[in-house]
Amino acid sequence: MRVALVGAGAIAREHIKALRNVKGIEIAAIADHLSSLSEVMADEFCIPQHFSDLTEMLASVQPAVLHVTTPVASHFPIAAQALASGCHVLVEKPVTRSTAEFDQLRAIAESSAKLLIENQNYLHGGAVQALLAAVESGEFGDVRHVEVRACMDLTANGSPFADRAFPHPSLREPGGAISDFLPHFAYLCHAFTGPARSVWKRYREIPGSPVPYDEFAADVTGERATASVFFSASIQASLFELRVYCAQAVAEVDLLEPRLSCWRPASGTAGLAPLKASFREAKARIGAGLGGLRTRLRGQYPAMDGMRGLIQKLYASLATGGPPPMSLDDIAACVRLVEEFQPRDGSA
Amino acid sequence: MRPAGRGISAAGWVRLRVFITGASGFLGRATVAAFLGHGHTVRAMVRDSERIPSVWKSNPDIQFYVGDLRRPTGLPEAIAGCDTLVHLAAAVIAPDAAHYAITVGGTENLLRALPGSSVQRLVLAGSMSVYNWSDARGTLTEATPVEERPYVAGAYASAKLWQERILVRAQREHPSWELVILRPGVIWGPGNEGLFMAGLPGNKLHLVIGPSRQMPMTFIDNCAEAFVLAATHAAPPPVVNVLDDDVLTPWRFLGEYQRRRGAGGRRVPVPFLLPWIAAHSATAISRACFGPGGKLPSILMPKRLAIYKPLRFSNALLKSGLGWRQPVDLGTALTRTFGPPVG
Repeated sequence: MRVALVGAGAIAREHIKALRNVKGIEIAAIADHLSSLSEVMADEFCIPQHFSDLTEMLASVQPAVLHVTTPVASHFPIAAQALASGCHVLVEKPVTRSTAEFDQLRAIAESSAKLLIENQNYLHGGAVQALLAAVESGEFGDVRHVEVRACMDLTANGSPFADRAFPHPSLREPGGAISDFLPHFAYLCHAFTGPARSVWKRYREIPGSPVPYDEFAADVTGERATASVFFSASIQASLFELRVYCAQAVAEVDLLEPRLSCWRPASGTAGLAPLKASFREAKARIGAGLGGLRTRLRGQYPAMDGMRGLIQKLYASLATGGPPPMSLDDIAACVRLVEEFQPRDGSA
Repeated sequence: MRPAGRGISAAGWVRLRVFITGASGFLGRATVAAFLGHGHTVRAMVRDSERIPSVWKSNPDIQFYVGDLRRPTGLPEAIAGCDTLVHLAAAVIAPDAAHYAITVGGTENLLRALPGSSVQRLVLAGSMSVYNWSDARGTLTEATPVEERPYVAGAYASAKLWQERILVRAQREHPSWELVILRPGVIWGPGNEGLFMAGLPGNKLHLVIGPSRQMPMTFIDNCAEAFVLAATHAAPPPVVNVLDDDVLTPWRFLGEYQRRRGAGGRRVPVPFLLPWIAAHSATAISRACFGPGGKLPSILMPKRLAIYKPLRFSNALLKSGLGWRQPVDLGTALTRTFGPPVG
């Protein structure tokens, strides 16, 4: 199976690393509007062909799958062209900038019987998948509430989001730099709460900050449960956590250094329960630390665990004809939720 | 005596009109000052207007173009009228992808703006990091082979090598352009001390790797002078390493830093062989455990460690080919960077 990429930036490197672990495929070509960048990446990763023109690459290589790793504004036209030319398409998040664009892509994907997948990477990491499996098996009971918390210092010196001379593409979006993270919040909420029925959100500005908004908070009422989201773009610590409150357990996933921790009703001697819980937590943290070190020594980022999982599932599905890693309905619901998260006049 | 060259015509002195990218960076500021000091006019490309030194703003011989080579607007118009391009812009400390986007992609965008311009000579700030340090023996010169697969040497080195490659390719397509590639060693001076070249400096303990080897160093003003000569010389060599005359060892360099700054810490000499064995052992273990995709900390990657290898360096071509004479002696350079000697 021939695979191609369009966009030779940072995230393309992670796609290529993940693709190298997939059996039965060939990374056949890469394109970028700057021919030097596609040439360098082709040379570095031994990709046989490189292009500066997408149309030429699609016609010449005829890939079965195209990975779209370009800036957000180009996702829609590129994905539409690739689907129409007969490719399955994996698009970086967000798949499109609006539901209107997504509906058009969906129509093309359905009429051409091709897969359209959004890189919902954190959802497909081992820890989140284990949590989803436990929830779906009924082991944890009904999901009552979900919390997604993230802090990334986007205002730090050297941050691409704070570079005034070369503004990050996300700064053109209504939510500024925070827009880049909204798809993650949307698919993590959606996976546990189901489609959103109502959304409340708040954006906060800090005077003098290089990013338009420094904080985002939202409450989501979903079909199955509620969710709250908090994101800070200026707290000087990196954290990205998912906490799921179920009827019989509370589970937490560290998404940057993947780790799943669970708290369940105490059993046995009540006085020893906190000690046992501490040992369990310590074991999980040490395991995550060692796992993260092992992943880094492999030349990979622990936080990209989910992308590797998603890509494995996508190609397994294509090879076997099994179900895709996500449905178009799921993606549509996430695109709608991202739209709800975006600030509108008077809402910020 | 000024060497015969582009700055001289039969009628007398000719001022070059020089477009300089990366003009507000460490090397850029010194290079702009050097060109202005030699009487040329400069159009300085800077990414951020707030980084323009105030003394430049009142100088009639300098104009500014604010832009980023990754997404330049109006670059052909900015270059119009210039006869010389000095390309200094590059990523120095950045994520891997940013090195390629800025250093390589930026150069491609710059080249797109050149056809039809009046630029005759391009002078690139290359880097000695492009050489194959691992295989080099004895004296490293311009004849030393460059890395064929530079990726293991890090994104900075590979981006600088690709930058050279696309410029050489462009020059072949436009034979009327003259291309000079200067490959400076580690450029040091006030604000950029280059201590990393001595080894692993710390607070209490400074591990000095290969304490008696020669470091490939050039003081900022000495390096800037080489760019003026590369732009003005009548027949410059295509590739020239830029290094000072002085043989500076890591032991002395760190010692001067400590004495002049009053910095504490103990210098510990580490023969190059020790980290070399450690790096090769770690690489063997990594390959056994994780295959060729394994990644180690920089200091344990043999290709990156090779910059500490005990080699000799020569600036013979800089002197014979460009007529360079070291403008700032080592003592003055140390004083301007670390302060006057104490005691």
